[in-house]
Amino acid sequence: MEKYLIIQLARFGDILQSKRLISGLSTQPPAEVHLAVDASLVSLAKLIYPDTHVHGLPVHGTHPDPVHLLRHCGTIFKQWQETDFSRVFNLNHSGFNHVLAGLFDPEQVAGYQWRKGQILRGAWPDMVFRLTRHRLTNPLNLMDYWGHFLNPALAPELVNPPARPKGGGVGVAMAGRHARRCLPVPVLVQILTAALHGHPGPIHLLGTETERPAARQLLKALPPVLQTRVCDLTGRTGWRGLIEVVSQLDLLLSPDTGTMHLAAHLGTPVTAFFLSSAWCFETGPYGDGHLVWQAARPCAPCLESQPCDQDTACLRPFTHKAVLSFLASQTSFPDPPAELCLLESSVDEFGLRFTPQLGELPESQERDALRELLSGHCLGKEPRNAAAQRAPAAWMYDEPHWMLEQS
Amino acid sequence: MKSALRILNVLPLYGGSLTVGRYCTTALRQLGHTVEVFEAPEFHDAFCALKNQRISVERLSALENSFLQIVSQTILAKVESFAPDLVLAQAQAPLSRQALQRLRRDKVPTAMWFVEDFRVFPYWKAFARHYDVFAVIQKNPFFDLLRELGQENVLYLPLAADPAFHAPMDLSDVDRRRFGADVSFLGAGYPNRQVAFRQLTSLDFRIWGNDWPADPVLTPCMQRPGERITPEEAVKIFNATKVNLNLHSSIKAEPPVSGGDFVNPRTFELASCAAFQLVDKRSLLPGLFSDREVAVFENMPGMLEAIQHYLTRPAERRTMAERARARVLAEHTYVHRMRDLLDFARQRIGLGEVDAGPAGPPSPLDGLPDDLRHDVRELLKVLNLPESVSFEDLVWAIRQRQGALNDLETSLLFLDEWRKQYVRGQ
Repeated sequence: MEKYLIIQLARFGDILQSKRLISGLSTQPPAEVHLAVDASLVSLAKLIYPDTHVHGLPVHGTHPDPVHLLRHCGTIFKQWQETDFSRVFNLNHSGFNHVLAGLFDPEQVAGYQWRKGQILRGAWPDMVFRLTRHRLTNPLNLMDYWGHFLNPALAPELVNPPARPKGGGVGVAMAGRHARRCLPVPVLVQILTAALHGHPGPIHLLGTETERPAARQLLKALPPVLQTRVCDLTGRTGWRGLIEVVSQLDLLLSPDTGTMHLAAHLGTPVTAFFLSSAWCFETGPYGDGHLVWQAARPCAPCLESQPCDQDTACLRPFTHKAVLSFLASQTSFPDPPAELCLLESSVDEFGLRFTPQLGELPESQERDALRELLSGHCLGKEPRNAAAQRAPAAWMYDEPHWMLEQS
Repeated sequence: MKSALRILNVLPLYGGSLTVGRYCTTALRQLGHTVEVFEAPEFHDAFCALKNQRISVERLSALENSFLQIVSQTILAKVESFAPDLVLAQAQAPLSRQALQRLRRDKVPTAMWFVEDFRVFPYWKAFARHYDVFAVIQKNPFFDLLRELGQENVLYLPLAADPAFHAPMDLSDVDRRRFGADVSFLGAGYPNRQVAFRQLTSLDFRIWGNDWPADPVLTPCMQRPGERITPEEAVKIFNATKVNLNLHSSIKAEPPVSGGDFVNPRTFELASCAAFQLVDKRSLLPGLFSDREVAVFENMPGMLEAIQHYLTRPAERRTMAERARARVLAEHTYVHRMRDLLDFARQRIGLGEVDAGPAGPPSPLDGLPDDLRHDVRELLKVLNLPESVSFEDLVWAIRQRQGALNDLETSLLFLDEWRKQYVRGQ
């Protein structure tokens, strides 16, 4: 039996965005798939991927004493070395991932490899790293990036079910990890007031204990007619409870969060709000039929780590009356605000794509041409229009690609 | 106790000082320092390939310069990753002036061990002042010349031997026949040697080494002409020979016994092997070996007379050779040289004066329960590290391991990452 190890040490959302790879491996019978995640996400990973062997490592926010860490990690690493993995997928560009690569021969590892103490990036991640230098034209979803570590990758339509309302009301993801990417309470109040107009069912506020104060603030600010329908679940659900709630929703309203990816995983429709550093082409909800409101100012997508000198101007269009009107009626509006675009998700043989429904995004031709190039690259397809790929090919393919064997 | 240092040893692309550089690495590690090596020879083939292109000399020169700048930049990147307390280089190390200036700006101390004859290899004039410490194998007038050029931290640091490698050997009969002779010489075919050795062809005399021009008189004595002799083979030749001739090189044919100043590495290596040697007079030799330890000749008649004398006196040869070995062990190992170099650098440029606290840096063994302590202690032994090594240096040593790591090594690196993320940032 083939045995695989996937090392995914990032956050909640990333575990879900590894699904194309993990499911792709799991559906190659007979296969035994192991998944290494942060210790705090073990129970989530087991719920999402019940057929995998999940290993928890102390990576995020946990502070074990060094002795405990050495013992705990030592036991897991020994077990890994005794397991004859035919392939190890080392997904994240982090110091933890780099040292874990040291356990294996470089030839065994896809992603980040270790050769005599030197970290090496495989050909595919190296190419994708190049893409992210100009994020505006980057058409590649993270799910597809990791999914295409497999050749052939799992068919995109098999990753997540199409979005379909479940009858359990509306969910509201209160916040994500990056504050600037989230909608502040006053903005959220206006959006919810408009969007929930046509949804008579319960309204579930979702989030961790940290988001409880914001949830209370939101509750107070909502119109009384909505307040009575709110069920504040912030800090009150474990992973299992969250999955149960999200799986029954008609709609999840969310910024770019792990909960949004959970909804996509469960086939729950998402309407997402992407601003600041969030870029739907990279981390939008995966599957058919989700909607994303994408901020499209010239400075977007920005870097979360750098301060915003525009006073988060990309937030303003989200409360434009035309947007609120659309959210209320789901019909087109005559005068959409500039710098905001509504897109709908779908999948094709390469992966996720977003098609503008309202408004426009800059550099769409370049983005499409890059996507065509990547699609041909991963699927081995002949280009439909070679001339259109000349510019992206010149940008993506460098001399080392041309001259040196790519692992 | 002096604290352990992190030292980046920059080897030259090729040549005699490359071997010296490798011995330095071993010695520094024996002294308990954490040593990272820049393996410049790995770049040499690519560099040589430039010369085979049949292109204009101007282009070739520009390309060679660019190539060496890339190599220098690689060294700087290594400095950035390793954060050494000292960058040590041997003669011809590929550190550009620009790179040396950058290191000085970044307050990374540098030391050069210039194991060349300053008269034959004059490029030191452009580079010496860019190093913080400049160690040499000659004294005046070289010292004064260096000071005139602005290099004040000059150290006389003669060559040495590695007694674990350059050691007495019990040879098999086959090796004794293969490598042995009454008289042998191992080295390159410099003009003075070509002239001198023509007088030895009537003896059981063997010449080993490369760069010997075709010479019908010497041809019968040549062993494996043109072939490189490995250091391992050299030790066998030294051990198998009754009288090892050690005639220092000279680019002039006359006089064959040139009477120069510095003492070559072969002198120390022969002595360390407890192999008897007959060496030509050098002005700096008396400070290193006495005539009770090595037999010295001053001219050609003296050399011929000494050969005849010692060939018939095996006991005398053995006694002198054993004394020479003892002298090496007491004073002339690479460990001695590296200790002297670091002491000098501490004194002159304040090397390694960062205060690690009265108890020194915390040991990786601190706070570990017995079973883990045992495992880490075993790992320290394998890595040839003292128990007093800092956790950072242990991590670096693990990162230098070849092949896949084991569970303990990976766990320690994982702990290091965890500390970087959560402890050092606090």
